[in-house]
Amino acid sequence: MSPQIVSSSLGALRNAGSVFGLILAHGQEIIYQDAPFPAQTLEELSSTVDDIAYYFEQEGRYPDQLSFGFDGGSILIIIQGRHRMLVFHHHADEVDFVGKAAKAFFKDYEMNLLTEEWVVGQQAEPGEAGSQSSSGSGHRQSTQRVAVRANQEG
Amino acid sequence: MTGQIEEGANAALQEALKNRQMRFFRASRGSAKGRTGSADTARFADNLMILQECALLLGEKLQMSAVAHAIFYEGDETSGFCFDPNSNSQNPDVAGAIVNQRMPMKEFISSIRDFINS
Repeated sequence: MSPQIVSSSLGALRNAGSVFGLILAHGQEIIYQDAPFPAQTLEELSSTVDDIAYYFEQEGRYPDQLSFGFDGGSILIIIQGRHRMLVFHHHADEVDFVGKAAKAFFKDYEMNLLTEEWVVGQQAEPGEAGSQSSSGSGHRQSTQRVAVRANQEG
Repeated sequence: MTGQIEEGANAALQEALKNRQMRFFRASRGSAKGRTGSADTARFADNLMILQECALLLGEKLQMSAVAHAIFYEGDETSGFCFDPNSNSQNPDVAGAIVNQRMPMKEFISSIRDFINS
């Protein structure tokens, strides 16, 4: 899924209802963030949620959705494999809607990742690659093909 | 214990699991009480401690110290707690529940609040 599509999909959730912030991370690496907190706080939050997920894993437990209601707002955490999404929202009553929207995003996101892996795998099959260099990522090979096609058309 | 009835489980626990009903608990001054047996109450106490620790860690980062409630889904189970707003704020009581279904979180919290006020 391209960063633009991720940004567009999450932007819709970010602006829904009383949502006031959103972080998507893979492990501790932040993939997308739009939340009214300093960069250091976002990194620390991402790291804390990763630690929480790790703690549960060590206990042989796998929660996938956690919600915390604070005085200043609520946080919904979705854990999907190594991905974590944190959604900050003001109205606690919206938690189920926010959870469904976040899960729907992950379905699309994972489908896109699978499709990308499949396309890259197909391009890397022996005999298929022809004279392409054996080094480099699938993404690079894909870019080369597009470039060749563009040259032929030009 | 997500759907399977524990061997030796008490009658209240068996009934709740069979009908997918919420099992309610109360906790205050470091001890938890419930009607569904000591093992089930210990599970609730364990969840409560983990959720409180998570809330503390997250609240620290966000500078939001007072957690009102926390819930989570794990497999086909929903578990969580609410602070009792009618209790002593210096040493607040907690009410919580476990249910062997993925219950809407809003409904889950609302049921705990009803239990607090009952």
